[in-house]
Amino acid sequence: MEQNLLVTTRQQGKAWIIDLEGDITKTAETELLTLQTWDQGLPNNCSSLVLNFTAVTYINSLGIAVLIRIVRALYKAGCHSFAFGINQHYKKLFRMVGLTDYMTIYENEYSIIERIEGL
Amino acid sequence: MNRESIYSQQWSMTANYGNEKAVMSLVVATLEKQLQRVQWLAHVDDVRTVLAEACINGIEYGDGTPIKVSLHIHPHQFELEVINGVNSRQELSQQQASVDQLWQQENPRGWGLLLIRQLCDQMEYGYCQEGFYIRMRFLIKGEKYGAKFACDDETAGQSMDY
Repeated sequence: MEQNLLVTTRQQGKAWIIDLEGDITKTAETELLTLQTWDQGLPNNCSSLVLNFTAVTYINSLGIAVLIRIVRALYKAGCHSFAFGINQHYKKLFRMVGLTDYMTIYENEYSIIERIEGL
Repeated sequence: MNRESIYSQQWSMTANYGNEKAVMSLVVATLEKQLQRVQWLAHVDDVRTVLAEACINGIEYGDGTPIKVSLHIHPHQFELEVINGVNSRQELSQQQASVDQLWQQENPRGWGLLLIRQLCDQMEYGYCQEGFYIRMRFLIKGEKYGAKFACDDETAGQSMDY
């Protein structure tokens, strides 16, 4: 029943973009936490992480815990975190758990890239 | 079955990750059928999340015991109850932690109960004879539920296993 999480990465300028597809649940511990040594920052001297939630269908508290660990580690490493493609309900959940204090949500990728270029 | 409710249904699920999604769909489908004329749809995503989180709590802490999910609809509210069969005391202190306290943890957990507390109109949890329960209530507005009494539904009051 649980839909696997597919993770693909790409780079645009100083942004390291992760395209997420499927469910962000306990499996995100394997798929996302092991993707990078997050407390050492981002690869290729990237300064910002961009998470694309456009193709994410379900997020639960176990997945949220993984996202928190990643953005918290990046914040300590001096990196910024952004996200787009999140529906109103999950935006609300992210606000409730304090995730939006560390991860800025935009409507689309273009707006985030513009913002990163201005940093 | 809750005596005061005018519609009740129960489901049972095995304690495996992902099963909460199936139960979530079944419960929401039942609510959609039963509350056709009542304004509750604004809460549908909240209902899905609180139910999923209560089931995940059962998967996490229930020692593999089956998880029982009940829906009780009353004239002005509906109630979801999720019970896992474990009788040993769970770490309730962790589950009552604030956002700031959770963020301080190396591996922050306990977000489920925090979300449930904020998304439903009323919640309570504790131990009953059957194990650990989480009870969540949503108020329903608009036309009073009951005009469409669900006696014609042959599944009313019965238990379904998943």
